[in-house]
Amino acid sequence: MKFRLTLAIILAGAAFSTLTARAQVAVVAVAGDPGHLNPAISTAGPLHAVADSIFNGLVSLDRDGNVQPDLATSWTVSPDGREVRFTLSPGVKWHDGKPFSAEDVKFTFVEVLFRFHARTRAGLAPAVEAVEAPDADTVVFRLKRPHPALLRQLNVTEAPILPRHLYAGSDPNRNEANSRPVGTGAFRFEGYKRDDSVVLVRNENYFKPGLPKLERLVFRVIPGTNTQIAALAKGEVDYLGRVAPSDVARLKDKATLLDTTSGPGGANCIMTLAFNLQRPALAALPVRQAFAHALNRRQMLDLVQFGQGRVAQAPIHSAIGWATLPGALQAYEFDPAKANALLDQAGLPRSASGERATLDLLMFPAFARYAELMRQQLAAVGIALRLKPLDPAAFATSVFTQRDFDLALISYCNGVDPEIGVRRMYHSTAIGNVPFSNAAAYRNADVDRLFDQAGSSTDTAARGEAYREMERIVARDLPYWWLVETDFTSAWRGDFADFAPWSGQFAERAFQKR
Amino acid sequence: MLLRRLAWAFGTVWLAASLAFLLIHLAPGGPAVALGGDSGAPGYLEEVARLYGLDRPLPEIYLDWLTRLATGDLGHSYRSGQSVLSLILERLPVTLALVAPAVALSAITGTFLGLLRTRRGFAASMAALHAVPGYLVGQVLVMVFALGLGILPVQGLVDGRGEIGGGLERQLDMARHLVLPVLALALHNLTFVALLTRTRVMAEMERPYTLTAAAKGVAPRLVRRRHALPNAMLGLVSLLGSRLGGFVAGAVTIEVLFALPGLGRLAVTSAIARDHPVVIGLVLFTSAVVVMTNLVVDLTFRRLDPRVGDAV
Repeated sequence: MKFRLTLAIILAGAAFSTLTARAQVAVVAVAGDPGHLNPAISTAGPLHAVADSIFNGLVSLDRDGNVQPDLATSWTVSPDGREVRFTLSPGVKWHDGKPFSAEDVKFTFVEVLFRFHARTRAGLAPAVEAVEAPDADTVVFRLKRPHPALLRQLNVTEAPILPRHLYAGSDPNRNEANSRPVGTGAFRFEGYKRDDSVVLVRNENYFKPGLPKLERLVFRVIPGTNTQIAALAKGEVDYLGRVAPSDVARLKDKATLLDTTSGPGGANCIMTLAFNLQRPALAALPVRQAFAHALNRRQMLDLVQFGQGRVAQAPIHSAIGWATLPGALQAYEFDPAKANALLDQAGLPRSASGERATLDLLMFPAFARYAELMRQQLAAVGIALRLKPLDPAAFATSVFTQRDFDLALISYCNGVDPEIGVRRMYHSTAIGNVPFSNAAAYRNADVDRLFDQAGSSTDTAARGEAYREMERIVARDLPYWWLVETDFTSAWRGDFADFAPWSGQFAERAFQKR
Repeated sequence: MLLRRLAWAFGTVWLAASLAFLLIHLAPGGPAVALGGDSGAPGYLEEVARLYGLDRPLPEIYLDWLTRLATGDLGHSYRSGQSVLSLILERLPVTLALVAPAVALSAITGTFLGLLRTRRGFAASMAALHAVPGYLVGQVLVMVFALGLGILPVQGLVDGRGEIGGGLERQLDMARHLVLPVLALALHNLTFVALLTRTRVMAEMERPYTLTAAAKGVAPRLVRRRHALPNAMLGLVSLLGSRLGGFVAGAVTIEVLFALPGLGRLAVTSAIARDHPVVIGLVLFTSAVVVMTNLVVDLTFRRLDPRVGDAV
């Protein structure tokens, strides 16, 4: 009897869920809880995955990293490259009905982004002398020196614009609007249940005509990747921003897949092995060269990435075509015999048990498969690895604050301009207590000079030449060994169309067919 | 007597929370990295640490925490700014809705299964089932009932499309979403209860009073239920009580697997984010619940069995 009742309840529930009418609703899975929804004070991935649909930047970036209008409709750069003038889209309103103006932009940069947005504070603030709002529709950036990367640092992920009328005069870290955000974006905030879901609804007054098309955008926090895949297969979830390479095959005939080199954590990422140059064993160049010859990167691409990416050909990502130096690493072919010879020559002979040295490798648990494969490959040349998986907070402290490591496995994201994500890996001023900066503690005055030169010129050809010269030097010095360029895959159910890859305003144009 | 027990309970909770305090503060990596994201400018981490008072010496932070605790203030989350107590109370219903049915299910069904006169293979198969970790059981259940038969949802507490109204409809939707998680959590413990009941009852069946009962003609089924079981129950109750911690730990895995917004998820998210006040508050709360339950179980024990006197 009891059993029958339970069964009846279950069946009734099932009937309810199938009877409900289909509106234009998309359910998106995110792996982590956003915490709060103020994208201007944090660079955390789960936060931006959600909040970037509520806000806008001055510009947006298309799939190929080209600059497109967002809040700014047009812009002009002065001949000396030190003044950039933006014209704002007229009649834009905040979700609470208040008018948007240039004062909001000025306030957000000066009071919030330059102080609390980690990447913008590090990568843009030092180049800016002043942000001015001469009238309601105009914003002027005065620069200390030409800063060619500026436009690519102004999209919603790098520089979301906050409402001044809600944030002025308060601590932006503790403002109530952080959990009830008011933006200008395609979707309005409706509700947030921690570790469960964030619900956004269509902004009927969005300043881009005809957009967005979805009525509701629901983010479900689902930590397990297996659960995410099962939820997509069952139809409980419509969009997965990030599908692990090992799961792509499982989804091939169940969903639309889109490969991209960018994600909310940054674009153009290279899985990289960092050598701690302050450790005597690794300070010797032949030892690092031996690593380069001993590691089979093709195998990493095949076994760990399942082919989702490319073996790195240069220190700068191949997608930044004007700066990368193809073939920069071709001297280091996979050759264990050569690696053995180099290690013998470096004074690291094999002991009786065949081992030359034991080294610590620190990494995120998510990169364990890379680490496992590296351990096997390096064992063949007599180097034993001790794997130390650490969560992000512990990893950042061990590597960048305490510098207590031999080797570290890091996914360095170059961004759309080397100024954003490459400079911090090599410049001597980026050594120290800054997460994901110069892990190797590499110092080379020529490299510093080339970065400074490339970072303050507006001539793309000259910049590219400086970066390529830099790549020749670091390919010789090997402070890092560049393993694999990793591609990301987004997936969505077949009855949806026009999702953008997982970043920024990915659902601005999306709609459900039929 | 009761007072002394209470003092012990109080001391245990304080010790557990202080240990948690020490561990999370000594763990490498502070909340700044989690709060600010993955990269930053020089001085940024120090600034965030100052913002949350984390640049002070550890004893000072500890004393501050203890003084506030004395007034019943568990502090505020670094991440959300919400008070820790309200965060815990917000999540508690979900975990209760998961753990309470699972405890009941495994106690009742487990005892029933343990009482069955079964073949040889029973104990072995129960033991084998018990050895399967909860998340694996959960994944198999999802594969069969959600993906295979399609009758139950894969994840979440309510339907993500948000078309469900309030009231009964919502309750039904939640019940439907909880079936698989509760089963996954219960199965692991159910097998344990079944094995334990069986062993205990078998032990009682060897004893003179059950032999006497059988000799005077009581049916074997009744000997088990009426005579052996009540005596076996004593050990069962206390063991179930001591396993409550295990249920809570199991709930963490199940909440992660089924994406349920309960206390377990709060613990995981807060630990990764180094949200110290929340992690410490959770340890304080759970240890208090477990210690109190054990206290209640001990007292019940005395009620159930007059032979257990002041020795407890």
